Amino acid sequence: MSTRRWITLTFGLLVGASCAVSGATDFEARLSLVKEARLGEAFADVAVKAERPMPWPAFANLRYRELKGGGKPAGGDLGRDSDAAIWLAVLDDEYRTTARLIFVEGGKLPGVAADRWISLRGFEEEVMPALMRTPGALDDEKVEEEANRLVTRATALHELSWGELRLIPGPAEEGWKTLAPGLAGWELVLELKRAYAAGDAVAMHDAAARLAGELVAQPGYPAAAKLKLEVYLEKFGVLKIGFFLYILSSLLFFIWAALGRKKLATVGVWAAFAGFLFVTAGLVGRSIVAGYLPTTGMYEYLALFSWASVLFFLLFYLKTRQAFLGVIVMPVAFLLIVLSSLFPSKIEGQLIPALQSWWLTIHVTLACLGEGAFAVGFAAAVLYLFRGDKPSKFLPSKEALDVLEYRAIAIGFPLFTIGALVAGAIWAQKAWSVWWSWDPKETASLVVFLIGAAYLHARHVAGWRGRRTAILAALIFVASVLTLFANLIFGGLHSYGI
Amino acid sequence: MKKLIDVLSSRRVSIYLFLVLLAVSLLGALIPQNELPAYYDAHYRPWAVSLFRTFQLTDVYHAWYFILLLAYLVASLVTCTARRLPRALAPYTKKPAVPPSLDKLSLHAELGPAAAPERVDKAARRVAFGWRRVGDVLYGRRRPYALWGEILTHAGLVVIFVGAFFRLFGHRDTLFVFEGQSIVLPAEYGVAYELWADKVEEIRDADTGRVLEYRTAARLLLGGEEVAAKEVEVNGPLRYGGLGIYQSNMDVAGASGFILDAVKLAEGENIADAGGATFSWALGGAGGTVTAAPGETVALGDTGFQMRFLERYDHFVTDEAGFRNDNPEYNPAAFVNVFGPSGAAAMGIIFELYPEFSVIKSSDEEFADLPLTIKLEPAGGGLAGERREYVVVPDTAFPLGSGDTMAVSLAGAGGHGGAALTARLARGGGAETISLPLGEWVPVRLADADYAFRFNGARRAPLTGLTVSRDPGVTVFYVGCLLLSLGVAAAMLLSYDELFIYVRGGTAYLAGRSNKGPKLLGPAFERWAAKMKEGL
Repeated sequence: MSTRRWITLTFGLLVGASCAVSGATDFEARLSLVKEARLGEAFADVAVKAERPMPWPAFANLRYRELKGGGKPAGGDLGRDSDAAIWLAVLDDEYRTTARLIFVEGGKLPGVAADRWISLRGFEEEVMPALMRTPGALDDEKVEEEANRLVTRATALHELSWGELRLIPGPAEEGWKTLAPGLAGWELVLELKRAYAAGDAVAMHDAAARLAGELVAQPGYPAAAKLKLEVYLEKFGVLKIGFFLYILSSLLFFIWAALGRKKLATVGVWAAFAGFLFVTAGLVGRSIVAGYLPTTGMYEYLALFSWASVLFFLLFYLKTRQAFLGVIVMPVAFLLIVLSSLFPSKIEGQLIPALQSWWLTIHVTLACLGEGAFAVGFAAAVLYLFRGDKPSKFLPSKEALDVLEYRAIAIGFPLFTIGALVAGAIWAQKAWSVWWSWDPKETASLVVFLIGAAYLHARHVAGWRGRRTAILAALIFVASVLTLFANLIFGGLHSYGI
Repeated sequence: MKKLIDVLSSRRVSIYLFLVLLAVSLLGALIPQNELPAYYDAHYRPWAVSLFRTFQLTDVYHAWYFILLLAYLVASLVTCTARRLPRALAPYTKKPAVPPSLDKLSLHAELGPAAAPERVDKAARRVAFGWRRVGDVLYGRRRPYALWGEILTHAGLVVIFVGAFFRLFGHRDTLFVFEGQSIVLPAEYGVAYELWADKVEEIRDADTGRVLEYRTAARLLLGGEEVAAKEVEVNGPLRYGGLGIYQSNMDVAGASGFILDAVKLAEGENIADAGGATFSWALGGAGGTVTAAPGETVALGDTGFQMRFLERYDHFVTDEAGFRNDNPEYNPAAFVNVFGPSGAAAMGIIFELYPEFSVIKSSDEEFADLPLTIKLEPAGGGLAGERREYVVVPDTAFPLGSGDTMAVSLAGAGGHGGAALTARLARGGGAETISLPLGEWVPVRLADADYAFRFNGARRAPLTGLTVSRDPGVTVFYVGCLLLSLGVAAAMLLSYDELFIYVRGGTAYLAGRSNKGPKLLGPAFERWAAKMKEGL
């Protein structure tokens, strides 16, 4: 079979596999950085960042139950958030009206159609009167008073101009304790509380705005600008655009390989470059929002791996002006992004204690860059293996492919060795008091190192060239990809990286 | 010997060695390591289990053949390093080896007519290569240090293996300490350090509940003197004198620890005094604490009321037969009389653990609606000496402040309820084992004084797990890492290149070679040749 047919077949298989995985996992939904699945259809277009997406119904229900239970809230009404006081929400300007949706939970509010989203106005006009009409053993006067209070509260919220903060009081005094006395903003919390009790919307607005400023300045509260960036990243779907540009680039390379139109290769490189810029913007934005580089978890690592592969492809293109590597590298890059979509993509914003170290950045970034270079070596090796001896307009000579393959491995090997093995071992010594423990991921990285060492010795010392070294070069990359999944399959000390 | 060196430095053997190491490492990753025998019996067929046992596949990385492979690798690395050393030194110690003919070099290009030697020199200097004349050839070279890359890489790996060897002489334990308590590091660490965990914290984000940090305020003491202190965090160990103390585990919700009460007996105090009891009382606005020996009557402040302590029960139980002291549970109680200012008497049973069941009964009006409460204070009875409560992890030595250490384990047999601790007391001169039945005071002579100890049940308390490590090879390992990093970067990214300009028959020729081979130098060589041609 000719090289072109091999490429066509390989590409077809890659595209087919990617589409199958992509379709099966609802790629678009997985890419979402901030959407909460449980918010349902009505919330689909609303960018919201919140750990607790249902403060209003929870709050209203809690007050209702308090009254029904004679003033004592039933334990666990709000689950772990029973003393929750502050809910941080960021709404995009455009959506701020529709975002004020309230979920009416099933069976919690008698006389109100349940399990649906309604607007704030709907809540005021429909749910509150229903709550006031609630029959039974309740003290009507108390219910009315409470319901009126809720209406006042809802109105006050309604009057607030767009801001980063919503404050929902808890069931009792302690409900306000998210901010402790003595901390910056505490006085403002008290001021807000007084305004809330008095039903003074203007004072509440003023205090909330000032408190929002205080809160975002505190450690642990993401800055408004960061949250806004997260919303925009999602809104414009930069990673998604990058992903589609990678597909386009792969397609152009594929047609070029099949038809031999050189212009297509040039456009393919530009598409790859544009995709690379978008993925870079997505990863940089994600890093700014999270406060750390995208080096934690499989989603981030696979996206970074994809980025590094395209980076080295573009660097090699700049150096050699040979676009053919893109035939393999670009499908690999978009396949990696598809794989990343299998894993949770939510930005946690807080690293678990084990990952709070600069060594994480050094270890993962260098290892990933090394693997990106291996991807280029893999492309050259695969093309070498399938290239016939006849002259080709599309591919350079076997010798040139051999040199390219070596150059890529020569860059990737030190990066991988220093990043994955040396920095990993030093970090392990610092965090676990042992620099090597035959953890599955450690062993898998060692396997990559050993294949790399065998390749270099075979080339430099034993004088191997051509087919045998190309097989070893391809194996380095395959082993690197398998290394990624070692902890998923075998567990071990790297198991948090999911 | 030469044959052995040849085999050890054989290039082919080294490639196959990598592949064999790779295969064995993969086996270790595929087969779960160091599980209990029952695990393999449950998950694999009998023939596979038998195979695993025969070839030590359940602990591949410590199997004799794996260690042999590693030893061979180290020997091979040392031999190769030694063999390459003269070549790396040659650019500094020897005259450059210039081939007599440029045909010997695979990279060569014609530069053009060489009118004058000065002109050739000037053209050559357009490329910075440290030119000099060697015979009739103009010779230049760059980056001779690139030859050290492979040597440093190999040396780095050897040094890391040496570090691993030194590590065999170290020790590593994960030790558990309750908050506010201390332990003594095992003898393997050489010096009997006391490790204190003053505070155990799990810091969570108030909003998300995610754990942000595990932190133990740790102190290290030697001979009673504090030598190091740090808030130990994951990724932030305490280091002192070759020891590393790492945060590795935590249970802030509380794990169960044994409670040991200890009282340092005061001058003239006897263990028999343990039969006494201490009470706190309150009457109207007045209140206080009194200690009484059995049968002793004490005044309740200036209230005019008096209390007589009659008897103490550690295992109180009552039924139709009256009061008894054989409750299987530890249930301290005191039987007392209370006398009013007018002489009216009341009878009382005061419970330590269940004060809500305490009663003071009297038919006399003087005691009607009297707001008198009496509580039995825990531990020690009438012992007035210095007290301390230890919350201890089983089988972990803890310091007693006197220079002695103790480690306890739960023993089946005991007085009441069958529970007792076996305490191993280590003194300066020797060891002693004593039994501490639940709830009973036991006299113990320590280095500085006589003590009374009591096993007082169990309690949940915040617990921290600290990994203590002494690794004599860690510095060596860091040096190895540095050498390996520098070496692999230099070996892969730098090349040692040499250029030669020959003038033959009035024409100048450029030739070149590189330790990375002519193909890799090719494009650069062409650029240099073009640059020199322009200058000629």
